[in-house]
Amino acid sequence: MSEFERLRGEVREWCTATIPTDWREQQRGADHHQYIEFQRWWRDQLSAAGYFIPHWPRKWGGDEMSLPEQVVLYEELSRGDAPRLGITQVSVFNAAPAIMHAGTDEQKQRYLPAIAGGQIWCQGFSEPNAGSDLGGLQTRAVRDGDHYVVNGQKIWTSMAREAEQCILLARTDPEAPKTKGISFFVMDMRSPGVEVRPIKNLVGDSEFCETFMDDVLIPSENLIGPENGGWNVSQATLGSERAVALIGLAELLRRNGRDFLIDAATEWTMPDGTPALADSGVREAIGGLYGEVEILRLVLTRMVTNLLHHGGAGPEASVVKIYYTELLQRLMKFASELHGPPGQILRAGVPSSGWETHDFARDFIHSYSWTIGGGTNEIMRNIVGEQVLGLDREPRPAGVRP
Amino acid sequence: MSAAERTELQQTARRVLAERAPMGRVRELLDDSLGHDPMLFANLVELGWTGMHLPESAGGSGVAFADTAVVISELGRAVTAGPLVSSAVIAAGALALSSNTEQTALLLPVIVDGSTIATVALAGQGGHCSAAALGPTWRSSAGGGVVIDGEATFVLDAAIADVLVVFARGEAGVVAAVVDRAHPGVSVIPTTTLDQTRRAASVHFDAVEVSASSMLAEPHDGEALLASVVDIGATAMALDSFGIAEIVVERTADYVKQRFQFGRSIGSFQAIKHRLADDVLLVETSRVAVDNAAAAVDLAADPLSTRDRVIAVATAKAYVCDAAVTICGDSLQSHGGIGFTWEHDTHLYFKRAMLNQALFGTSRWHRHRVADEVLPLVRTSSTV
Repeated sequence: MSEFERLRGEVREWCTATIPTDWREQQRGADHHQYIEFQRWWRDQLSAAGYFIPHWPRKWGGDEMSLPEQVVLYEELSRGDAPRLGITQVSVFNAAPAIMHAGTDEQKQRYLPAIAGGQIWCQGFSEPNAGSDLGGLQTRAVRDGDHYVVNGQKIWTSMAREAEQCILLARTDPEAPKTKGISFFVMDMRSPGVEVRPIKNLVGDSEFCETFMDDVLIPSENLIGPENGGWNVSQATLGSERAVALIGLAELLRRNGRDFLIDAATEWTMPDGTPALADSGVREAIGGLYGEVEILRLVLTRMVTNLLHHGGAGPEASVVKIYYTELLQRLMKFASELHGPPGQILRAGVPSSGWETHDFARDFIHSYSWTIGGGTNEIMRNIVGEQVLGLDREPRPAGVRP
Repeated sequence: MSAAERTELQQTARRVLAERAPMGRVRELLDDSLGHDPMLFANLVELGWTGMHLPESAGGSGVAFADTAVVISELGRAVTAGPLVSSAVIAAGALALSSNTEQTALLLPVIVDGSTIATVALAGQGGHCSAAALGPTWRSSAGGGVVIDGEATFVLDAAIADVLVVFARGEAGVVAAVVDRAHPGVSVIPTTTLDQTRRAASVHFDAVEVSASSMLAEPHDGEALLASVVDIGATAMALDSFGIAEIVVERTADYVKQRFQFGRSIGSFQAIKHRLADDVLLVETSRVAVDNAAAAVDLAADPLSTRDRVIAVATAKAYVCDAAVTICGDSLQSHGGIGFTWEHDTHLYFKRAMLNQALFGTSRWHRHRVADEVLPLVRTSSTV
């Protein structure tokens, strides 16, 4: 038996033993508190099994799991219908890579063990006036002795209420060209002057927040990387492990998206009372979507292979982001329309399930968080056009500096 | 073949085709009645590209179909004429999969060495290639063979073929047989397609007697052989379209970088840039889809289940052939008026991509094939 098969068997067995088969029913309608409690429980299960930070260096408590092994792990977790672990997304996949990449030994020592221990972090990048144009952010950090004084407002800070730390981008040099005057900080969320207000999203959940900073003091030892060098530090957070985690999403789209659609649609009917799956147009559409979900798996596998051989996903990651998110959206849209009026009945949501609540209309609406978040698909298309094809950039209006 | 060797093969193919079949030569052949360049084909034979995927016993080199796949995509990229795909890939594939080892031993070596050109004849009036839609029909003959009647449409390179691999339908099922093109009762009538880089024809069969020794498949295995051969043909069309898709995106990107309007390159406009980004996405997703299909029809590998093969091939055929047509349309739009001229190459790619999309099963049919593999068979209506 190969190493991979052994790991696969091990994870599969663990999923069967650990994941409650009825977790979706249990979590349906859970309030925020119950959701967080469930998430913490799930994080602890993963952690005890060594699946929480499997890709990390042993030095920091990880398992140094190779990319192909991670692929197996994420595939099996998806296959086992594992809940999504949302609360530590930022700490593990955004904060830790930046700190490992640009932090001092002292900073690594200070932050990484806490993250390995399950600490919750949030990300303060976007602002009301700096979304796609993140370089235009206005939150100010002014050096004052051994502190920075921070004033400003962040938005879409998921988990801000639970987070103990925040990775924060703030402007330290207002005179420099946009991205050259930004620094990367770790901000203690319990600092005086930090105020968090939840934002209710369009499906009624409060997954993200606004975070206000009013004369918040950040010790200068919390600056990650050089002053005014924060932009590059933030770019380091799109690590290969995030690309690998996408493998799990592809598997989810197979099982919870496509296969569930096929199961559900066997019960659905057409206006004339015949089975939906007897309809020629429906069959053709499902045949096409089925193949496209296979293509997603193939394109992700190739991306991981490229990561292994060339060390970077590069702009290809943007292609995959567009394809995954829009395929997800097409599939949910199709399912929602086919289901018709019964699909419009409001049922309580299932937190910890991401988009795959199995209520297609809700999941369709929710899918827009994927085409907007993580860099809008329009920005992704700019990246593909400019970095893959080498097309010229859009000229900037006079007076706007890059 | 290693990945590095495969890349080298691709570069060699690209260089050879650029030298021997440049666009000027492609255009000369547009008006040629046979649309075929025997010298070029002889070059390709010499390079060993007619037999890579065929067993060594047949004069091939027994390597993965993925290697031949590289060459097929390069032929599409160069919009090259000639029977490599029709003869050495599709017809030879039918022979290699047939249980008639005598015919296989007789014909594969001469197909590989280029002295015989073969092609499959199967589609019916609608150009479709499902078992029910086959053009030729058969009935038993006194000598244990069959008599073939009817018309096969869109037979690639029929006018230059020496041998036809005919699939015919009958009450007992589908059969396949080898028929000489020169056999009495066989007549070939050229079909003029929009795509003039390749040649197709209708082949009429008027009570053509086929002996038992020429049968490649009998009713018990004919439909399975047909499906396998259609899958090889469909994969070849998808690979050809992939080559087109790739070069058309490259050429369009080059054009929009150097075409200036309103004082800036038009590629800097998001209306152009985003459409091209979508086309890059189509190319990258098509790349993995055709690789997957090529692996699924590999003669040297252990055969996949029919289900897995059909899902891989039908997905690639529908997705990639559709993608290439979309990309060609986008390219025409991005080029503006200049792309609408005969002198510009856009139409050569566009028409070839459209023919690829239509042959060896339409996209609709292939999506239905996937559906039939993965959905319960509750179908009450059928769209073919």
